[in-house]
Amino acid sequence: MISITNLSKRYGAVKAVRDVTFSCEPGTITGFLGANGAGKSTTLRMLTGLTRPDTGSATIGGKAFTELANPARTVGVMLDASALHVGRTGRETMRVAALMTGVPNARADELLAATGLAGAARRRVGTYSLGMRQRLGLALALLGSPSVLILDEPANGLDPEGIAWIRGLLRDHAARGGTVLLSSHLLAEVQATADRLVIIGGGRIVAQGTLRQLLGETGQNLEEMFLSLTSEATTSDATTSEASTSGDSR
Amino acid sequence: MIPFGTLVRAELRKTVDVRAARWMLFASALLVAGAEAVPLVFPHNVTQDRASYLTWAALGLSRLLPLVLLMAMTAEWSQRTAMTTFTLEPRRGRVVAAKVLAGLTISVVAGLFALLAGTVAVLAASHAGRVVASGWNWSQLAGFALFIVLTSAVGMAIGAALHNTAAAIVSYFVLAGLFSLLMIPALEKAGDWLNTGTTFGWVLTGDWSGHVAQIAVSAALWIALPLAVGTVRTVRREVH
Repeated sequence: MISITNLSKRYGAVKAVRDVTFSCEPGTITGFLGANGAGKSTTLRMLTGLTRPDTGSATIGGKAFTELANPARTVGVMLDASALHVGRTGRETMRVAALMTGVPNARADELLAATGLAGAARRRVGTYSLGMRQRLGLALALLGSPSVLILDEPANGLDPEGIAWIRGLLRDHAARGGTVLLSSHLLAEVQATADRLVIIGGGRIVAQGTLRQLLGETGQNLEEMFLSLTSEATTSDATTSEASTSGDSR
Repeated sequence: MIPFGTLVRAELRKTVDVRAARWMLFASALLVAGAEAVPLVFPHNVTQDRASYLTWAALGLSRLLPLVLLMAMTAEWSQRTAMTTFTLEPRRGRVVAAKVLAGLTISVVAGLFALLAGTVAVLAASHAGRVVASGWNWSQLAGFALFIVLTSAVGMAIGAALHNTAAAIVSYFVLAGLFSLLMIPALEKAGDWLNTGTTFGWVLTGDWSGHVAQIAVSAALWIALPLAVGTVRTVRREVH
């Protein structure tokens, strides 16, 4: 269970995230949608303890990420597949993480096989394609058999086969009672996978609910809704950013 | 919580499991061997006793080893692995502490290698019929060990403070070069307190009398200060 409450972060004059509140229940896949720069990644970084929020809180199973004893056993995180050491082999990357988290090497090898990297495991990550790095990032996130998955643009760089594979994996995970939060700027991808949507624009939550609710309410197709909601947020952001400073929740 | 020993083992592994680090450790071993050739080949210019063989071995080791440890410190940021590392262990201070302990372990192992190289060189010289004072001077041996640990710690501390590999390596050499200017007579008094080239030299030769405070001050400036700054920066810095 992920719980985000009144989370805000500003960088100088830019309010990257404003008073964001939403939660993700076990057994569901939540799609976190927003254009580039809408505040998705900043929110996910605050959720995983990589960025300190100005106000508000984010918890996983009732605890802040930084209070989790061995986080990888509870939460699998993949925020950026290019954040891997290019000089280390895929196998070594997995084994170092296995050592840190107390997971057997056999599990690391099993995931390399499951992500289709067994053949490339002894090659250095520097020689990997974007899709292969993405697979390695996913293998790292799954290493500790976590119940919660937090994935930023997980289908980025994957081929259609890989995209089908990750969809199946996430659905299985949720079906077994796991919690999934995945971000994307690609509507179709989220539409095909998620049960619930949280849409962020200009740092603010502009809509949230189940796919059915959101589509039923507007009677539009999701694409139009997404574009209209995010462009509204962006334009109102540009015109009222100074005026809204006083009303900003702190 | 992840046991601290586990973090140290992981950091040890990360220091030596990349190609660049392995090549530099291999080059360090060659430098030690090359340094041992000096007292062997120039017996009339270099005092023929065990202490001087060990001094040359330590000087050879202190060229590249600190850079290997510096790069282990900066890699998290330059290679962006901080994102993975700090989601596996969000208590970043523990990770920094584990890195320091892993670096010290590597410097001790490297020191044992240098000791072995020095011993082999002394044996070789004796075998060739040369008279080498091969008695063990324990305070000199302690100085040898401490010199290796201190020079390694400087590399780690600068890497920890600067986060960026290129900036840290350049600073390591440029700062060392600038501070070595303090050896010129007019600035000698300051150099005796600030220039590790001078103060760690006393450590290496076991010349402690009257220098303890000076050695401590230079170690505080070059090790404790940057390490403290680096720890605070690492704990606070936003990970992208």
